[in-house]
Amino acid sequence: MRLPPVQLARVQLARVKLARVKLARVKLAKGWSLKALFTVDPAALMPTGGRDLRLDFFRGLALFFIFLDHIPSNLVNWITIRNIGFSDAAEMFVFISGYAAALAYGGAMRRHGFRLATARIWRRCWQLYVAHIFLFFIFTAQIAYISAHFNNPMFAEEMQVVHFLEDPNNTLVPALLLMFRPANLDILPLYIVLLLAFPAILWGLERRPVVVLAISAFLYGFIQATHFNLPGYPEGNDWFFNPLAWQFLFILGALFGRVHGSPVSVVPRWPWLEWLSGLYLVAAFLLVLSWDLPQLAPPIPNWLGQLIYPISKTDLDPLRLLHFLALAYLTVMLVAADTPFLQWRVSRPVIRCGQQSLYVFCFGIMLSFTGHFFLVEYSDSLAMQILVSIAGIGLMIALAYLLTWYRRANREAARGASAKPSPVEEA
Amino acid sequence: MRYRLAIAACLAALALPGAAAADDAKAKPSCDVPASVDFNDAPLPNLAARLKARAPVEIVVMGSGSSAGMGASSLAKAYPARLATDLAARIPGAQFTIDNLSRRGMLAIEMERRFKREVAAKKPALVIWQTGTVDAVRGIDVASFGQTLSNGIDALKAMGADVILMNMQYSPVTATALNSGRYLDYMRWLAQNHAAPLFDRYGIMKYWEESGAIDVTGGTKAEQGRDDDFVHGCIAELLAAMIANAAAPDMVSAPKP
Repeated sequence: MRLPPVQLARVQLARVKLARVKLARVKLAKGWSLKALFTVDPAALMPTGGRDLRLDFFRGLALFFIFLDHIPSNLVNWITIRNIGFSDAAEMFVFISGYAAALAYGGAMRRHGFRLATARIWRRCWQLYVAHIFLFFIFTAQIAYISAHFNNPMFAEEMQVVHFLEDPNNTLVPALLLMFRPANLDILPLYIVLLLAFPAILWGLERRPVVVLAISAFLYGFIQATHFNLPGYPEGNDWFFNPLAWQFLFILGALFGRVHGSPVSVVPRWPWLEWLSGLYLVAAFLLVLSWDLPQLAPPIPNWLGQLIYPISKTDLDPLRLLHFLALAYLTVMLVAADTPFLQWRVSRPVIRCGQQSLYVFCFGIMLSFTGHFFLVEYSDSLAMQILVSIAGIGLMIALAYLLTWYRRANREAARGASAKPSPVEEA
Repeated sequence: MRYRLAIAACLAALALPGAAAADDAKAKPSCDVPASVDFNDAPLPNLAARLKARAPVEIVVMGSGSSAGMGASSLAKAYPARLATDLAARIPGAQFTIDNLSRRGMLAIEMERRFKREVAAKKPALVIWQTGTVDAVRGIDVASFGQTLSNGIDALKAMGADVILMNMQYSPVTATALNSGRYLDYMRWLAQNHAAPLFDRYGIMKYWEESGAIDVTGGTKAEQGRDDDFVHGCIAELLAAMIANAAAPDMVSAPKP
């Protein structure tokens, strides 16, 4: 007897998941090939059917870290990765976004052509732009509140940051053009710029991935040597995230995302590289510790300081890039795609947040402003900081679940019972 | 943070008997901060040589609004003015002149230009360079900020002066509006590279705010005035301690209770 449609769909879904699990095991079992990164034809890859939950999990985690890091006087942000090494949630976010973008739009470009894929990508840019303007408005409201309520003369110079409110003629238009970017609202403009260029990047990756990577690496190297940055507003400002430098991490992500699901592993399993990565992470941790506890600084030789400082986040200093790559490498080695903890109930909220990342990101930034407001106005005791952190993350998770339900309910209503798994959500 | 709280608890416990003896113990909380916050191991060789030779010492303070006395109830209560008395108390027999060239709204690049124009003629033994605030407010290109710091420190050392870098003030309210993180990092790294002491005013004020010694987020005018005076007074005291310990550890006498 034929199963009812819903149950039939569930059986099919289970079969697809099983196939994906088998594929993941095959990927690591059969040798590896760096050439595969450039030569595997993505069109010939088996459709993965489901998603690599690791992507969503770590993007969700990055969003939590971004939320916590944006509350300045929050002791809970000591648990985020910026305190254990040079890189932080920004690197995670940009790399995974590049990966997801290639995954989401690469197929469209292959199947439907350049123009439609470009239209989809630029439509996404528009959504990001609207989100950025919304956050700018919230930021401005917060500034207006501060300028009305905070009048300690000792900080009159710092309060000049609100003077842009007094000159709307010269700040609103630059803000709309993404030239004027207030504090902590820099990652979306970076993402918008990268996505604007993404159709060309994707087109290049489809045909000559080596050439694209070489150009990207050359540009990155050029920026390290010259520290050239795009102009900002007003005069003398720079882009907090230099797109010319951060494009390299984005394109690296896209390069790997393009061959997602390849039967030949593109990442080698070399024990010596795992050890090297681990040592580098430990060394980075010790250095970062010396910044917070300077009593440890004397053993760090001066020549090392001359060599490595300053470690520019703006220009994506190679030390930060290597730190992120070391973390990513160890993660890929230690956390398989079918690892059981991704199926646990405690991981699911994080995964849901990663799947709805744009909304959760905007909501997280809003919540960080609100949380900071509570800490400043009412109490900044440790208990209050923990409460604000947990409440914020809880609300972000609630939003993710709400959006997931909405999407699923909409799809089931539109297509009837044959609910196919969604293609990778790019954000 | 746990280390800081533990050390702070120990310091507080040690400070209790002394505080109880003083007359105005209730009105003036202790300036003490944990060792990790005001740690310094960079020397001040030019100043040390001047002190050893018992020559009069000229100290130049180049900063922005907070060094120009903004927030203190009067210019005489701003930290540069109090620094002279605190230093004289710690290093008896030495003559200190403080020359405050600070001006509100000065960028680091403007201060660096003034080093060459105005400071060179004064031949100071020590320059206290307080910067970063205005650059963070205006969002100045951080790479050029770092370059300016390097050039400025090199120019001052070439003039035969020691340099102490001082970073921004801390306020939880403006912390979300201002992205001072990367400027703070650059100042710390460049101070280390040039073997110049860094007076971490940001970390010190952050500690005071979190431990409750001050509350800059609200309060009446009187409370604000008291907190502002506390900040300026304690900054002067801690700065004097750092200078004395770095330049003339054997000449230091214990501060009067």
